[in-house]
Amino acid sequence: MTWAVRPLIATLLALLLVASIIAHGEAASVRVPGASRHVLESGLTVVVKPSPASDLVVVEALLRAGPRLEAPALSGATFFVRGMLVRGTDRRSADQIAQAIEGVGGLLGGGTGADFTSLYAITPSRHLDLGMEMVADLLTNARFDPRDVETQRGVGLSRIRQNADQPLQRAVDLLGATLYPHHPYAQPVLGTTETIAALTREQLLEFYRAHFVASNTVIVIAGNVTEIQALDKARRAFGALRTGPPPRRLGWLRTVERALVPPLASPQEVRETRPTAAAWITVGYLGVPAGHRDFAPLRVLNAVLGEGMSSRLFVEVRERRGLAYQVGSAYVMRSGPGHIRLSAGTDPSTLSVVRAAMLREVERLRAEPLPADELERAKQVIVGRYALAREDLEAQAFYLGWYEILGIGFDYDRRFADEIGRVTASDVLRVARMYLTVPALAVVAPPGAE
Amino acid sequence: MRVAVLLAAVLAVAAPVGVIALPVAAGARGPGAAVRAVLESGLTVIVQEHTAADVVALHTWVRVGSKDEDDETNGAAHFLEHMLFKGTAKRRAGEMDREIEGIGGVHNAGTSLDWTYYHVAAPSRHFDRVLELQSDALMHSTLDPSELERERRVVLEEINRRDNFPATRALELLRGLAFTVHPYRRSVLGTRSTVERMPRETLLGFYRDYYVPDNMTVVVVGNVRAAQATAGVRRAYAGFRGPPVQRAPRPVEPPLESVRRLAVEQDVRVAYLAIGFPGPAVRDREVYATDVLAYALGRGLGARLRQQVVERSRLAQSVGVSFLTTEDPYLLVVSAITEPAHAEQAEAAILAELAAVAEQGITEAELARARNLLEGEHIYGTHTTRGQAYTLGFYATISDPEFASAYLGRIRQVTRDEVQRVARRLFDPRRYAIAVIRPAAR
Repeated sequence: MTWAVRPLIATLLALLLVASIIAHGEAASVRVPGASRHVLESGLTVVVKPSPASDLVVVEALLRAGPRLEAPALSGATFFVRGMLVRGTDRRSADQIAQAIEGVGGLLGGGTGADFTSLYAITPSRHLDLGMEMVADLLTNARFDPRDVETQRGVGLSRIRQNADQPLQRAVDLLGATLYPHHPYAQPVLGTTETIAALTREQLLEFYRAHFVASNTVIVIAGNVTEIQALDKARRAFGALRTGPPPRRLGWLRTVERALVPPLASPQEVRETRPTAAAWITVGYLGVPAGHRDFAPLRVLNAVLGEGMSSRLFVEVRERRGLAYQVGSAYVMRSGPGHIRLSAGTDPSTLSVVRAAMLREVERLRAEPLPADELERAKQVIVGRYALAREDLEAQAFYLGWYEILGIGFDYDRRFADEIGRVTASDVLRVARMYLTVPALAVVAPPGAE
Repeated sequence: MRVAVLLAAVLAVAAPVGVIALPVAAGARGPGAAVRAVLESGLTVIVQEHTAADVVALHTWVRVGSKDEDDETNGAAHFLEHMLFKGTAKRRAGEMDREIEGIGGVHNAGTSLDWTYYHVAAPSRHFDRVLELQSDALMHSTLDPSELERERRVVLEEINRRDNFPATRALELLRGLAFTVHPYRRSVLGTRSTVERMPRETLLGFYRDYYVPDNMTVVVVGNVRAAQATAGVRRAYAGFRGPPVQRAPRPVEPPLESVRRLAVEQDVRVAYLAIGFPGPAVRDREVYATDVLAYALGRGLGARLRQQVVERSRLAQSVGVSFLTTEDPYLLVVSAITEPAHAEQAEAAILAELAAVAEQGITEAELARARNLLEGEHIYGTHTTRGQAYTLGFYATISDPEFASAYLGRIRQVTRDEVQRVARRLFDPRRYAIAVIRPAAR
């Protein structure tokens, strides 16, 4: 119950903050060592992380969108719209976009997840203005030329089929639909063949206009730049960004989201038969939303279970028994309830052996307290990988923005290691018993696999 | 280029089970040039001080890959790579994993056509410890027989997993088609039957013959002092000796004299095309112009093939070009994904565009875009300790350490004429190979 209340309070506080900014006509800023966040008059959030180590700068925009905010008929609209951004704006043709950014050695990229979509430009720091102006132009003035809509529709439909061609990806999609039968998280990021075939230019434009607004956007600037420079430039570059209220579904979800993700009443198993070489097994358990107090213990639990080569699943299924090449688990962090996902690929003849071994490792976590050395190693795995991944400048930018999108704040980046460090063995046992209760399984395997 | 077909050509000991896919890379600007030493044993050591993060990347590169295999031993280099994680004279299987992960480190390995590499990243204060762990695995692995049997099953599962990625499989089929005698025709993983039968003696032979000092390069990038790190490597590898590698000359691939075509039906919903044109080797001056050509045609939003075949004619939904730099002449590969019914038309459209480049060359703007994008990706790819270490180790292994430092300068000098000359030589419509994976006809 606490998790439903917390984001609400956070939102109210945020709204109060925004209100006070508007009242005073100036940006509200929060600083922590190494980074700062500023909410501009337009409602746009700007996060700056100066990092002079390389001569590069990243401008990354993250917006609340993706399956969580998509009505069933609009499933895949976020991914579709992102594909339209680089295909021309009112000011630039697709060729001019490409030539401008790649002509100076810059990279334009992005991603879409269950809760967000992102767009970034990485450039040498002397081209910061260009990177910033380009991201702003794409967020504000995308053209949606009817011919380009049809091109992207073809690309999108192809991507859906390419995903289906990969059995593990297929199993992951099936698992999502099984874990979240009533929540939009059941919908794939790419949408479905039906929705992508049916979406009209007008629907896409409306989605763009409703979601690509200042109050729904976080801009992160990371790299060889000072806070003052970055903020000054961002104010000018993003000045024309559409204003308007955040997407309606956001407010609506805050009140009903928990009801949309009831605990599974009984174990679920879906199986798709295909002529694949290996059998692919995924097992999922519902978890908690980002910001919940049980997130850190669940994150540690996941590391014990399936992160790295010293994790239980790896040691038991692969090292001791040689039953898989790929085996492990991931905690999927979400704005709404996340989940733990175990996965393995094995010979079709050992499907049930591996399936049983995976469930047995889950059972062990519920039955036995964690030995101190294993707890310690799991924490090292998490914190060590976290630090190593953040050597990458784009990853630094992405995570600061993502934490804003998730509602836990950019400074979560600094709090994370402490939260993990405080987790005890009894916390892990408690969350194992509380959350690893009713599994959902999705299996993609050839006929006769057992 | 060094990362072109990374997914397709490098097989790692462990597959990532990720939450979010991010670009692969990590780090910051190195304050000085890389320092290189060749120890008395013949071991090459390259150290780059890099102080942006309190991290060290330790990569050890061995010049052995599927190119060193024959029909019997196919898959040995990769299988051996797995066995270096399965115990040494003083550590049992799994101990190294626990020790490295216990200090917040990450490690893995990869095998390709020409090389095998082992990498660790860890907080820099643990440098001596990870160096001891990695050098122990490289010098003193036991290839324990019962561990070997278990790992054989793991490698067979890895072969099963290949099917998970039709685009990768198309590339493997292409290699088997384009090469008839050169070992690049074989899969890095080997075949089910070679792996099922692979005797321990074969792996021991590869270990003895190729894991010798003058065939290895240790690369250290991170918050360390160059002199101390070099001394550390010298200590860790004290007593490491071995005769220089005796390599039999590899068969020279005869020129491709026709169009070779292979279509395979599989459980897929779109068509995956891989079209290969015989390209240069790392020692050829043309590698730089070939990299620029590959970028002009098939990398980034402004790439010629994307604009023509995806955006204008819409015959493909994805198209890209890769050119992996290799010891022996390899392939420039055009990969495309199309609707099954459009595969032939897409192939024709791609060939027509390549012919146009051979005939008229590329524009000044295309040249600038390709060179700058290559440079931008190179800078981005080396801004982390692991990216920098990978680049240094890669070029030192397939060429020499100077290759990496001279690379960007060479790219900047590439002219339109050179690009057109390469295009003319490569894009002969009568000489190429194409592999297609497509759905079964109904």
